[in-house]
Amino acid sequence: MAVLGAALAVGAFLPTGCATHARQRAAMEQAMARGDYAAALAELDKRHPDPQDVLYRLDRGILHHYLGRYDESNDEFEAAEIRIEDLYTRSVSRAAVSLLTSDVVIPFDGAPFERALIHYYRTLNYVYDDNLEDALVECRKANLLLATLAEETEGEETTYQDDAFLQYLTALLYEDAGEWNDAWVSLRGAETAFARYDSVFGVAPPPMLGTDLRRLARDLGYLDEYEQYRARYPDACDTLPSGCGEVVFLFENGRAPIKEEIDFTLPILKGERDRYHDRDEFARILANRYQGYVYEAAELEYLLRVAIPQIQPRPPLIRHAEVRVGDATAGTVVVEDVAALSAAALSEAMPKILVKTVLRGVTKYLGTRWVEKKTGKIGGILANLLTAASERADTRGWISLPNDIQMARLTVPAGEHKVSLRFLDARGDIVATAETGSIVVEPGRRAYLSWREWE
Amino acid sequence: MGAFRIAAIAILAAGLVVFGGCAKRTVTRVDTDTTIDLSGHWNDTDSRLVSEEMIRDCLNHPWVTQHLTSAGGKKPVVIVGVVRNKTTEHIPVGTFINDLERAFINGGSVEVVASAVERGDVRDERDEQQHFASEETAKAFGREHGADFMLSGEMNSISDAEDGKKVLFYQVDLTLINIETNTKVWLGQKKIKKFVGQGRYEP
Repeated sequence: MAVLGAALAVGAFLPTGCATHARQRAAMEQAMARGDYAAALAELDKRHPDPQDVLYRLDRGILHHYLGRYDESNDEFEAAEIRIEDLYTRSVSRAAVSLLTSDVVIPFDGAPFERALIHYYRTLNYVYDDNLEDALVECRKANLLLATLAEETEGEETTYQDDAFLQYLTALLYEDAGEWNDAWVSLRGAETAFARYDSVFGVAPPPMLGTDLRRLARDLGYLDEYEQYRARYPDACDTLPSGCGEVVFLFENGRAPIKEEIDFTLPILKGERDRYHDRDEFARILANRYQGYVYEAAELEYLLRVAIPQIQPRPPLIRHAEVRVGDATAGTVVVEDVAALSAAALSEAMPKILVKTVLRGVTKYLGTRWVEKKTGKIGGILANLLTAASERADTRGWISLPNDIQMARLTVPAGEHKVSLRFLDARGDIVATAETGSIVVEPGRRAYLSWREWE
Repeated sequence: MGAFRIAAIAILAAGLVVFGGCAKRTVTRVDTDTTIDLSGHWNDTDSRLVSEEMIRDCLNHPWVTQHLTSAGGKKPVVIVGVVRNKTTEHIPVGTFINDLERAFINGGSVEVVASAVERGDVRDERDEQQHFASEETAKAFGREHGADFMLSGEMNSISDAEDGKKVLFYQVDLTLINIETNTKVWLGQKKIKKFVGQGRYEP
């Protein structure tokens, strides 16, 4: 009993606190919603300073980004990337402890879409720092990550196999640097990925995609492809007027969904413990009872309590934005539905999470039965309490991401222009406005601007 | 597996988790020429080895003696221009450029002039001297040594990875161009290949 009790006691307190990840970050999020990113950083450092924690680094990275501290932001994201790479090596001991406690003891290493979006923020950091060369390094890193992802998910039913938004953004930047071949590859990748996004998430290809494909095909001298795209996108105007430049506006809308913990019970019937010698097989049979199972009360031996994560969306009030640069106005369109990616990632991981959670529950149940047999009812109750206390769903995620990312592009005369924003809800009513200062646009070049709204 | 054995393994594992991360940090000073590869990414050893080898190759080519002959024995003047980083890593190109300049100077066959970035600071200093330094010590304008040749290039990389094994391939291409005639007098290339293995499991 002492051995099991000690194991569970140690394991029960290894996870960082008992509240869900979202509740632990509540004070930080409140400060972020006020636009007080310095206070949000202070909250984060006050409560959860763990340089080895990927989520700590990601939150610090995004906060420094919004504060305009691009070097510091990149340092944090770099540390997160290095840590994620190190975590490829899985700790057997931690895996063993998680079998008796919770998945929260296993270090967080991010879902594929979260790792990909690190490159979005790092790219913007370098762009705003006027460092196109390092921005392109981030584009190449993103493309490498997506190529690896595509290889790993080939033939699988995984939803996230490529990132249309990142492919599109990297294409624009490659073109800015005159690397037209790379831009072409990324743009064609974006075209394919957006077609998939459209069918899976309802995120349509942005209207400028056709213009970009026509223009690049023409500039590269790919005449067959140029004719194809001219036929497919007949209304696209692929030539920038002389003396004009372009503004690319990226709107980060709302807050990414959080994960809540839901508890449920699974019935273990009399005699089943002895009938199924293979714990894994037993766990799978119990997991299948998740959707409901009919039994007689007299058959019941034990109600196994398990906790699993569930997505809690936080749909934003704002549906889209209108950006005005000088005399030009454009509305934003969604190019990345982070909420949908988050939900899909959890949904696809759920069968494994469920089986592992039930397996953990069965292991704990067998352990408590042994303790009860050896030490009596009191020992059994104590062991039961400890196992219940250590049962925590893994609710971690990069929740400081936006709910969705939207894009608008405007052609404007070269020069300095005032920028104003209007944010509209689903009915088209204006719910907020903002003035971002001015932006300088050079002829034939692109200027980038991003904005985050929290409601 | 009995519950007792499960618990025993768990307590051992918990102990490893709790106490395993308690290693004290130690610092050891090493010689700057010591090769230490940690992550497998581009590091100071790569920068030093590539620059030394490429410049040694560059200085062993005929363009040096051809210039000495045509310029009446005057050493060629070289400026190191832009080296573009087209890899998938944030490589401190400034360090590599400094290594190239050092290798050129240490080779003894050429003179190296300040790069475009550095000479801006030098010219500012010269301008300050016109206003504040004594006439005898103030340095005059219009007396810079114009470079005869410019060195520029790019760094590329290819990465291939599967199941914790990664092969990193770097290629550095440098070109030396005659600034007056625009002719390329030397083309150098250096490749580095690294294998990085990372175990899937640890205690």
